[in-house]
Formats: sequence, structure tokens, C-alpha cells
Amino acid sequence: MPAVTTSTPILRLQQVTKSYPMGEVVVHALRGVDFALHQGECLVLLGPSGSGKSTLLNILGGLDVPTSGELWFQDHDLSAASSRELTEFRRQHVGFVFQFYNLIPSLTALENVQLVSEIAPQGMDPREALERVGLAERLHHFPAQMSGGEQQRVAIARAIAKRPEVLLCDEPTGALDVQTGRLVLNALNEVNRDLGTSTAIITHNAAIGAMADRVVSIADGRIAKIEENASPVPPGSIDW
Amino acid sequence: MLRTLDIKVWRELLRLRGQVVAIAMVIACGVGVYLGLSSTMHSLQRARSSNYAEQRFAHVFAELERAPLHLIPRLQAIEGVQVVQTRIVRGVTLELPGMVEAGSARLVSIPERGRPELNDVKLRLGRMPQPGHSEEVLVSEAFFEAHGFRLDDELPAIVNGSRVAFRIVGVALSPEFTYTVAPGQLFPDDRLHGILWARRKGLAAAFDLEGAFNNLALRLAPQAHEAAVLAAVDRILEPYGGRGAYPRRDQVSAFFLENELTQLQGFAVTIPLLFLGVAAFLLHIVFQRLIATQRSDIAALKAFGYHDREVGWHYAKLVGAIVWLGSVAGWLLGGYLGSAMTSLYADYYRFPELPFQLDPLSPFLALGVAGLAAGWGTARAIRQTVGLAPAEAMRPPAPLRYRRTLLERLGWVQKVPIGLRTVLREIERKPWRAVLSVAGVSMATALTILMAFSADSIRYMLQVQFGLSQREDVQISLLQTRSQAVLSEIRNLPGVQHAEPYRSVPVEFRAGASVKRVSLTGLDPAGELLALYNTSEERIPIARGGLTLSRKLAEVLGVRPGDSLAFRWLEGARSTHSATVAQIVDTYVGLSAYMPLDELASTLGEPPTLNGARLLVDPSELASLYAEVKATPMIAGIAERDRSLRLVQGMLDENMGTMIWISLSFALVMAFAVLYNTIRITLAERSRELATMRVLGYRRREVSAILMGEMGLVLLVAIPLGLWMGHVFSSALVRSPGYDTEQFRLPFVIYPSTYAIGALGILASGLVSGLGAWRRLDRFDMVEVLKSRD
Repeated sequence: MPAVTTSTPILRLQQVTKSYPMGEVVVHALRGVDFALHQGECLVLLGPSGSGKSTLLNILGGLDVPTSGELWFQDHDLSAASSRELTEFRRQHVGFVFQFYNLIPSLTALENVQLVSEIAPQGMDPREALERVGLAERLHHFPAQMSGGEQQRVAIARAIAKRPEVLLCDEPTGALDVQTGRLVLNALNEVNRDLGTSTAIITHNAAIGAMADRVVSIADGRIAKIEENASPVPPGSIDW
Repeated sequence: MLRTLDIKVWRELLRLRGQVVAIAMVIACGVGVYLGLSSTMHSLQRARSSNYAEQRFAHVFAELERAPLHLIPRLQAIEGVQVVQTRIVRGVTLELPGMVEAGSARLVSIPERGRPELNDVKLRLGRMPQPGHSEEVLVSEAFFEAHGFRLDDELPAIVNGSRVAFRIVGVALSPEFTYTVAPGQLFPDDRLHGILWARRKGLAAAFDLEGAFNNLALRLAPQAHEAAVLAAVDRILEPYGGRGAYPRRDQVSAFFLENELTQLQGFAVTIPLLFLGVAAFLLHIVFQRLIATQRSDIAALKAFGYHDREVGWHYAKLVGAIVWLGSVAGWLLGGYLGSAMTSLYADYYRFPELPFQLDPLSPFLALGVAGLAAGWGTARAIRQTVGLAPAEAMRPPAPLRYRRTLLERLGWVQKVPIGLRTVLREIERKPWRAVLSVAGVSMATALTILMAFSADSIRYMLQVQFGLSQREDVQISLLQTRSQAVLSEIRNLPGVQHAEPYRSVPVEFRAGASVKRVSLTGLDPAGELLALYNTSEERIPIARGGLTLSRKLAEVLGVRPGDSLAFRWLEGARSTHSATVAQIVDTYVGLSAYMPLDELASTLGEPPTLNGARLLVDPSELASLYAEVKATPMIAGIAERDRSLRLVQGMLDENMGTMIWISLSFALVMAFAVLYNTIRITLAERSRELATMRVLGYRRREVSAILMGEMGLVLLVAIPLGLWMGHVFSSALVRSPGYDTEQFRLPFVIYPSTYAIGALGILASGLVSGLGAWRRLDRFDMVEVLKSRD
């Protein structure tokens, strides 16, 4: 069942700026961003390093708060949320996939997923989550016993195990070779399609934009352009 | 100019300041305790040896009834004897101005002219008594000060049954009475008991000892055979009521001082080593971690052309700086502790001078040992930096391998929560770290018990001695043995409600090669005022048909109930007898032997007599009783039970309390340092995991529970283990030679409150270290942690 992509925004940024002191200078990472992640869409945030895309992802994921402007999750204003409120937002609604997987080395694949499903009210069966990413056979392996691609797929299973509304991926293929990277993107694609999870993938790799419903390009802390992709291609046919 | 690498040393010290300070504090405790105790020992030893030498403290002592002075050539002729000193020494009752209680003193003769050849007095104030002036006395300094006497004050006394007014002409100290306790007492009571010195002629007349002596002191040649001299003296004095010659080490004051030094020495070695061992372990874990995180720095340094040696030296300097910091703090702490303890000792051990003296080598010895311990702890980590090839160091370390813990593999733990599972696997991956953390914290816990238990034991001993065992209000001793008829006189003294007679005689027990001279006390079998307790702490009546011995005396003689024991009466007929050991009782002070009063009399072949009594007294008439006693020449002394209790209690509260709090805080420093480092290392090693969990939506409380989990487990194991170890160490300590002596024993008692204080103190130090880490969780930069590859 293909997910329905609507234009209902699930996460919305309005005139968001973010500046922070870096030593003696103030870095203006975001300089007024208006942008929304829509229900069920697969979105690629494209930008070179230093463009502000990581800052944007941190704000979207409730790891950071904007200096000015507004951040809305559905009809909740998160612009001035406390650290405690942001934790609850992440806990209930957001799944993360990181460039370096960030699995807990002392836990097996299954346990890494349980780590999240245990605290989610309507969590998925961890085995099902791992099955979805094609790791049904590797449940009891420790991270050190798996390849990078496998580890990243465990991370995806972990991210979706809480059935999040939003899945945020930070350079998910950044540490992987092309072939493995395709497998990982495929897993993300399937999650987006089958579960209808709104997905934002941050990357500096323009080729990945081919799998997205929309590609948002960021440069110098601003949205440079937003392109609609009428016919996304399956990740298997992407090359870089 | 500071080299760049040295600047890095300073930066690292600053960056790791929390851990550096914690480790330095442990080193400071170790070095401080060592310097404090060893300098106290050194000060006491120096004061003792110069005092013993300057005042010509004798090597051998003997007491006897009465011997003629013409024995001197025979004593002089014993091989190895250099100097013979004969004296007159007797106990006297004092009528102390403004005091209800009767005091007592030992009256010691000095030669009619000049100074004593042995056991010389050190004149502190005034002058020596003049020849021919029998009323002039020197008094011991502590006694003089306790009463606020002035020179020329009068001191009324009862000497050999007659009232005499002494006049204080000088104040003195003697090596013989460095520690002054009344016979049979453990603690000095300077208001009630003192030493008086008077010219010999007057004393001889007063005690009917003209041309005779009742006390002997000898100085031996360096190569003298002590045992042979003692035996020869005993043979010569035997017909004159000799009570057995004994060497200097058994002389009461010398014994207490030596025993104190032995105890100090035991602590001065073991406790610092404990602290330095813990410091070594802490340095080990901190440096393992430091070097693991600085692999790439090390690689870069080596790539630039720094030699292995220089890189290793760089880290060694860091260790050295921590040791130096801790040692300097320890020197200051040790100097303070040492001078405080030395001046505390000066109140109980009276030396002409007891200056605080530091053995100039000991600070360096402490520094050296601390350095060795630190080197031992960090050698492996530093060797790793030296051995690391630059290319290898550039690569990240191999991924950590984990497995299910043994408990899980065995299927014993079905559903361990995930957080706890990570904690258990961490522990299983580095079991030694956990074991050593547990060891450190349990040592600290044990230390709290070890340091505090002696107060419990002494309190318990007081309860038993003065609450359960001695049930009289006052005890009087008679100048001479009297017939039972005198008991009615005693019962008629003011306020006396009940009186129980006793008769104590000096005897010499002989069992195989063991010979022991003690006093054998005849007790009224129906008496209630001296309760005897068996080794299971049950009250038992005095056994009929033989001897009741105290445990220590039975041990010394090597006898058990049912054995037959020979003894010789050292007075009167000096007859030899034998009796069966009927039972063993537990006592804490001295060596005791008892018999039913009538059995003792019939054994000695004399009618029932007494030379003392235990009394119950109407408290409102205590003052008139004292007044009457002072006026009754047949009574030699009177001792009030409550006074002894109050005295010891006061001493405990004043000194032990402070000592216990100081050592408790040392133990807590140790626990804090171990726990703080454990948690900081966990935080450092697992910060990426913990930050990931925070990003995934774990609440701060949940993440800190995992962080505290390891510490919690350590505490969970270490506190009960430490309490048990404290129990074991303490019970071993009370049985050690310094605590289980013929003069006194400590019962082994630890009150629940002591366990509770120890456990709560350790928990509190865990809480403090946890709070420090908790604050850090707050400052966690989740974003930063996620960007970097571990």
C-alpha cells in the first residue's frame, strides 16, 4: 500500500534563524528559513558542508531550539520548548538515523532496537523492525560483528521501532560504499512507503535527491530552492 | 622556557582537574597519615630515648617486702649488673585539699644526699628536698598541675597509719612515671593519683625500714644476659619477700609507652599503603582512559619525530605532577596531624620535653613510596604509549567486543532491563576495574569500621567493667590484713548499706615453664558486688573447689579447667600449694585469679581474714564516708567506681571522638575518589552512548540511572563486603599483640550505629560523586557527540 503524500505539514519552520557563538565570532547558521515537512513525504535536504543543513536537522529533531522564528510540530509550538518538552517530543514522535550509526556496542541488534521500543507507547515488535530492514537473521549479533551497512540498517530499525511520525536521517550513507549505501536508502524508502513515515534525509550527495518527493537545497543558511520530483526513482537505480 | 609538551601537561591537569584532585586527595591522605603517625612516633621515641638516657632509667626492677642493705654487694656481684639502686617505695593516702575523695600516691625515696644514681628525677620547678627534712617532697608535675598547687603548699597524707604533713618544695618528672596510673588502673587520673619523692632517711623511719629497702632497680651492662640477671636477683631476694624481678619492658610506664608506639607503627604502615594502593588503581584507570582517547595525539607527536621516550616521559610527568601535588598536600596534612597528635600525647605521657620532630627522611620516603605506587599503577598505560607505532595509533582502536554476560548465557536472568544489561556487560568486559572499584570502596567502608570500633569496644568494656562487673559504689583497701571482725566496723562507717570482704594475696603461679606473679583474691561466694562473666558473657558465680582464672592468665600459664596448678604464697609463710583450675572468666583489665574466701583461708592455713571490701553506699552520705575514711588509719585507700567511669568516658569523648571523625573523613575521601573516578570514566567512555540515548528520547533521569548503575552495583557489593571486612579486621586487631596484652584487653564489640555510620558515609560519598556526574549530564552537547566518530 503506497503511502499517501499530502501537503499537510507535519513539521513547519517559519522565519527560523539560528546563530551561536563559536569562540570569538558569532556563526549565523540559519538566516531565516521557511520550510515544511509534509505528511508522508520523502524529502532530501541537500547542501554542502557548512550550509546549515545539520543545524536545520537538529532544530527539526528537537535537539536544538531556534534563535528566532517558529517551529511547529502539527499544532504544537516548539519554538520555546523546554529541554524536558523537547525530550518528550523526540521520545514520542521522532526517529533518528545517524551518519555513524551510534549503536550501543554492548547491545545486540535486537537489544538496540528494544532500547527504543521499550520506551515507545505503541512500539513495533523489534523483530518486525529488523525484518523490515532485512536483518531477521542477525538479531543476536553485536555491532562489532556486523558490517557498516548492517549496522546502519539496525539503526534504521531502531529509528522506526517507535513508529515515529518523523524520521530524520543525517548523512545516512556518509560512511558507506555505494552498494551498501543503496541498500540503506532502500530500507529508508520502504519505511517511508510502507509506514507512511515522513522522512527527511540530509546529504551533500545530490544524486540521492532522485529518490525524494521533494529536494530542498540549502546554501549559506538559507533555502536556495525547492524542487518537486514528480517521479522519484527507486534507490537501487541511483548511482554516485 | 616551558616546552610545548610541558604546556600540554598543565593543560591536561587542568582539564582533568576533578579526577586529579580526587586522586591527589587520596595520595595526600596516605602521605599525611604516614607522616602524621611516623612523626608522632619519631617524636615520642626521641623524647623517650633522651629521657631514659639522661635520667638513667633502670633496666631491671624488683619489689620486695624488706631486705637488709647488706645484700647490696651480693646484688652488685651478679654478672652483668653495673649499678644497684635500693629504694623505699610505698603507697600513701592523701588528704587532698578541697576534695571529698581520698587520693593516693606512691612515695619514692631519693638518696639522703645528692641525686639518684638511677631513675633520676628531672626537676621542673623548685628545689630538691633538703637532707634531714623528712617533710619536704617533690611531686609529679601532672599531679601538681591538676591541683593547681604552688611551691610550699602543704600536702596532708597518711603514712603507715599516721598523719603527716608534707611540704611541696619542687616539681619533678621521672622516666619511671612517664605514664602514671594508679595500681590496677588503665588511664591516668592526675587529680587522684600522683608520685611523691622524699629523702630516704625520713621514709625509712616512717616505714620502719631503717637499714633496709623494699624496692630495687638495676642498670645492666650492654652485653648482660637479662634472663640470668632476673633469675639471680630472684634467688637473692627470695627470702626477703621478693615479688619477682622484671625487665624495663614490663615496667608499667615503659610498657604502656612501648605498646602505644607498637600500635602507632602498625597503623603508620598499613593505612598509608591502603591509600596509596587505591591511588595506584585510580591512576591506572584514569591513564588507561586518557591514553585511549589520545591515541591520535600520540601518533601525531611520533609522526612529527618525537621519540618514544619523550612521549612516555610526557605522560610520566603528568603522573609525577599528581604525585607531587598529593604529596605536598600530604606533607602539610601530616605536619598538622603529627604536631596535633604529639601535643595530645604530651597530656598523657609526661616527658621533660616532647617537641614535635619530623624525621627529615620521612617526607621523601613518603614521596618515594607514593611515586612507586603511582608508577606501578600507570606503568602499563605509559608502556602502551611508548609501544604504539604512529601508523597504528592513527587508526581508531579496534571495535569493542561484547558478549552476553555469564548470567545471561546461563539463562539465570531472563529479563534484565536493557540499561542494566549494558552495565553488566561493561563490567564483564572489564572485570578487574569493577573488582578493584569494589575493593577500593569496601576498603574505605572497612576503614570506617576499623577506626570507629575501638570506641565501641572501650564503651562496652566500661559498661561491663563499671556497670556489670564492678557493682559496688566504693571499694576500700586496708593497710594490713585484718580478721573478719573488722567487717562490722566497716559496716558501721557512715552511709554503708552493704559490705563484702575480700582478701588478696600475692602469689606466684607455676605451670610447666610459665611462671606468673599475680594477686589471688578471695571472694565471698555469696557476694553480689563483683560479678564474674564467662567467655560467653554469662554471669556465673565463683566456683567452689578451686581457682577461677581470667582468660588471659589461663592463656599465659597454658592451663585449662580441670588442670592442677601450683602456686606459692609470696607473703607470710611463703608456702607452696596446689589447686584445681575450676573455671575461666573473661576480664578486660590485668590478670586475675579468684577463690572463695573460706577456701583461700583454709588453703593458706589461716583463719578467714580480709584486706579490703566492696561497699554499697547511700550517695547522700558519700562525703561523710570519705571524711571518716581519711580519719581511719587502717584504711589505705578508697576508690569510687563512678569516678573511674566518668574519667574514661571524658577521655573517650574528648580524644577518641576527634580521632574517629578525622579517620572517618579519610575513609570517605577514599570512597569518594574511587566512586567519582568510576563514574567519570564511565561518563567519558559511554558519553556517546548516553548522548545517543538522549537523542532517541531517553529522559535525563533514565540516562543517569544507567550512568549511576555501575556505581550502584559497586556500592551494592562493596558496602556489605566492606562492613564484613571491617568486622574481620577489627576482630583481628583486638587479638593482635598491641590490643591483647596482660595489662588490658579490648572486647570485640561493634555497635549497629557504627555500621550504620560507615554505610551511610560511603553512600553519601557516592551521592556526592553522583551529583557531580549528574551536573555533567546537563551540559552534554548531544549534537557534538553525534558528529564525532568515537
